[in-house]
Amino acid sequence: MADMLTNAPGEGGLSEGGGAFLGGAVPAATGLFGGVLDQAIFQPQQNRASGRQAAQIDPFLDSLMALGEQVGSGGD
Amino acid sequence: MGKLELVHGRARNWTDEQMRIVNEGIEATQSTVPTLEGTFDSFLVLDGDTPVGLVSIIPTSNPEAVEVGVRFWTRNNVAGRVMARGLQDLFTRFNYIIARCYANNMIVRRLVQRAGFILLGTYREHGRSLHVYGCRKTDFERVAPKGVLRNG
Repeated sequence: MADMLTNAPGEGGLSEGGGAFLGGAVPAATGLFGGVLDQAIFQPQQNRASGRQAAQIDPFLDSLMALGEQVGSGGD
Repeated sequence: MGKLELVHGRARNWTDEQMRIVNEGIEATQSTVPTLEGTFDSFLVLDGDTPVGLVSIIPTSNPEAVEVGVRFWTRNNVAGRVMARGLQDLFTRFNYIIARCYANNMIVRRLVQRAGFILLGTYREHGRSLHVYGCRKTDFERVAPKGVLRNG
């Protein structure tokens, strides 16, 4: 069922490239991320990037964080 | 243009027409965005009751950072406003956001650049060149148009 939106319970619903929605209750009517992130994204055991994706992203993430340190350490 | 919302895919029961629009939109944009892997949350971008795009949020190995995936299947001025408003909310919880797009996808490239993302580098996957962009909370707060955030 990848890449299809459905209302069928337990099928994972909408997904992108093989990802799937989390199971469990989500509050109704959210609007602009509000209210759902705490229940959805902050469950690292259920919701995480694959090892391969993490390997792709990590070097760039390190660069971004290093940039922050450089900027932060500059100035007088 | 109706009220703009980002709604979790499981937050509502979608009508057949909404599902048709989303699935056709996904199909139409399938080759324009990198494939995401792992398990993540996706939000529909609604213009009134009409789905106009999809935003996905993927954790990274760093608890301070997430990756966002964006795809839009309508060409209008909605994308920038929704992106800015969604990022504003994300930056209350994270300090760093990563976004990837194909190098030839100028629509998404302009979108993330306008939101304050900087190009961190490129790599190739399946013969295609990908751009990796990053944005720090401090940069977003400086760059994001205040009018967008007030009215978004």
